[in-house]
Amino acid sequence: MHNGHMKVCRVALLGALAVSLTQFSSAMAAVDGPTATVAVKALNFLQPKPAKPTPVTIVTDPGQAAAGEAIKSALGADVTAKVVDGAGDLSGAVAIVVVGGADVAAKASTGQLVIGDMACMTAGKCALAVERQASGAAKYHVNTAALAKAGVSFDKNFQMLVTAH
Amino acid sequence: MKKSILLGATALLAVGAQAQTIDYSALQDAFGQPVTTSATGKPQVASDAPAALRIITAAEIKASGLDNLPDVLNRYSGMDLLRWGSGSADVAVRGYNQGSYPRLLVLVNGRQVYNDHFAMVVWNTIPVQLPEIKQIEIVKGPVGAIYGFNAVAGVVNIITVNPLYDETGTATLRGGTDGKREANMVKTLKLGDRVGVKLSAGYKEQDEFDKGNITAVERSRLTGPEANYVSLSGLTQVSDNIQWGVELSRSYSFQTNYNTTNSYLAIKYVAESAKTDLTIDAGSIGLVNLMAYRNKMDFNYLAFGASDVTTTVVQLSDLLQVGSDHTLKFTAEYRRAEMDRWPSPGATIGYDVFAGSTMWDWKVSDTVSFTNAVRLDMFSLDYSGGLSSPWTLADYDRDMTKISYNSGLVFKPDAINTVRATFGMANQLPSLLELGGYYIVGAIPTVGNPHIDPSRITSFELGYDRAIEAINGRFGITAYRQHTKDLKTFTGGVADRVTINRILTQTMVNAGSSSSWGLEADVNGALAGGLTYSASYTWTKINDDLTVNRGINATRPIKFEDATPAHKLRGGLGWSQDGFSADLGLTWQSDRYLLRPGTGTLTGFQVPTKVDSFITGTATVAYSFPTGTELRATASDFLRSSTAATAALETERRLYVSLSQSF
Repeated sequence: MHNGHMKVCRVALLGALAVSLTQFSSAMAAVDGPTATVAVKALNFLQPKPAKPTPVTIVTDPGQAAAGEAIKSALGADVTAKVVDGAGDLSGAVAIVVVGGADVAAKASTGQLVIGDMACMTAGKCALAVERQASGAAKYHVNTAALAKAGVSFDKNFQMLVTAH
Repeated sequence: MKKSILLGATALLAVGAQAQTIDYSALQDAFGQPVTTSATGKPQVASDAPAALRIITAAEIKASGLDNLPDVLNRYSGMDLLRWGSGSADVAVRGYNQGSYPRLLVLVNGRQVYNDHFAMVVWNTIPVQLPEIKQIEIVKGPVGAIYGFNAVAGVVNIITVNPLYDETGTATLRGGTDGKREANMVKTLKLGDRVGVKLSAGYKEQDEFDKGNITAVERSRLTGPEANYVSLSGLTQVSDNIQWGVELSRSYSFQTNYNTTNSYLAIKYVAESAKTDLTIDAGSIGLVNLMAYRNKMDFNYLAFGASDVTTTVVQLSDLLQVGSDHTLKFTAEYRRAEMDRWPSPGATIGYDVFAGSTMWDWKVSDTVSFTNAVRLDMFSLDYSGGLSSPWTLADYDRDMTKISYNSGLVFKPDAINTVRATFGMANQLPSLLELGGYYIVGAIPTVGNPHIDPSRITSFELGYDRAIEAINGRFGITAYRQHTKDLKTFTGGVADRVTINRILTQTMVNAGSSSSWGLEADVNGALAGGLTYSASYTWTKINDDLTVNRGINATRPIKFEDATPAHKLRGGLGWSQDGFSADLGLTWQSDRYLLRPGTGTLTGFQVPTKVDSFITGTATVAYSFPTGTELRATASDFLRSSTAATAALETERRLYVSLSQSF
């Protein structure tokens, strides 16, 4: 009986934890198609402004190419995307979208904007992350140190609208 | 690999506009909500602005089916419309509306279209066609520290499409009842990647309203409004860091106006403007903007005489981000306004204003931001030409310095809630007419007053906004307290004559103070099936403490208590699907009392006249063809043949059909 009660408590606690995690999902979730679609809109505000369609490379964890392909298919006509894993070639891309845990910071060239999830941005491995809200509004989070290190700069009006970290 | 290198080479070619000026369309697309600079001078998403802000989008304007700016603005909480005729209206923010309403600063792309002679907005002369509007930003409450004199009740900033970023082309033909005929067009052209040009033009005419209790003299002055417009603007990317823009406009309007003494006059206006601005991304120095413009308005009051007013503004600003938490804006401005004395010519009155302002926006934490702005205006009055009694040249030798201040605290604990507390203090400069541009020759001179003081408006405000997922919309509520010191009033009657420099005179004076409480609540959103909805409630309570009109009868044309409806309810319902769209807007307002001259002359009494509560509405239906053609039918104020919305001419039902073609 006592064990059963503990089990119920554990389940309840796990449930509560799951609910809590769900509430933070928009901030913590890996980049998906809709989020990447919003994120690449930031490319319109790069200085200097790149030509369209803008080349973007999607980097996935090994064996997760399907997730990358899903994102690729979600992106609009303003970008041309390819999917690679962490060992893939990043040259030629104006932006790199990181899906999963790959760390491309060291591998990315100067001038390449690395986009990832909030954890990646907070850790400084990515320069940009997007938080989508239920209302349809979006919040762009920028790790200013990572952005400066990458040699990337945004139009000043856009820069004043982002949330800097 | 080879493909990647090719793509890389393409990407390194920087193309097109670098966006030193704001690309409203791209930013709204990215952030999922409109972006504004009207509240503080820095770009902000609407929900971050430390002000009661409403952005009317191009889609909302189109969906309304309306054909003029005052009616569009009147759909939103806190706004008050006094439609005097089919081509003339006054639009107020937070009460105090009157003929030739002087408290609202209206801008087109940052250029004032507020006219300094009567300190009024002649809506029918604004050289903007509705299809070229990107968005209209309404800031409610005083924002003098950002805009200087005259932004006392609020600011309406009309943003048009940017020829370097936006592509648009629309031609519209409109015809309807009561002689309504209108044609307008707007077209942007890109000349290569670095130059954009926009041309807009329009013509419209309509019969004047007919029903209503006005005097025979006034009725003889009525004229069917007729107006035409042309505007040409260009923006060029001079280099990767510099943009240069030019705007030229001309408009003509012949209309019946309701003037400050509460009677009708027929007036011809010709308004011309030239503006240029240079925006430079100066790296670590910030975003530097140099703007210069000149407005000239010729006005001919057919019963009195003609004159002109000219306003020249040169403004230099620097918007600078310091670290990630601080944004500063420094602005220096020179302003010159002058007019030939009216209606008796022979002299020129004008003033210079040198101003400096600073805005500091501090992101205190992830959830709190604190914005402060202060502005100093140094004013110097001048007069040249023949002196006429009672004033001497020494009376016009007047300098004054005024401070304006704005402060706003915004708390956003999460993505859905925003709490806002603001304080503003602004100064309302007397108009050129009030300062001495008005002069009527006679045994009793009727004149402006160079000693009249600016009004000072202070406002405290508390607001709360919440995005509500369950209704796919948002709810907002704002409460405010506003106080106006040193109200101004136009010349009065016989009882108001005073002796100035030993000469019996009628003149403008400061008239005491007034306070108001107000509340604005809004809800709007979208439902499944292409439905949109909105509802709002506005409550306004004004208490005057006047130093004039203390007798049984009012003799000065000023009385704000009871002149604003205490309650206004608005509702809107829209629908759009498969090319079809429809929209219904309804407004109910409680009664009000507006002054009418008892004898129809300047020397008579001003009689508070009741305007009963009423409900009015506008409905529109449209079909858009795949070819870019839209056919639309609109009925405005359609609930009855005419509505007594003021104490003068009644607003008549108008039915019109519009045919638009995109190209």
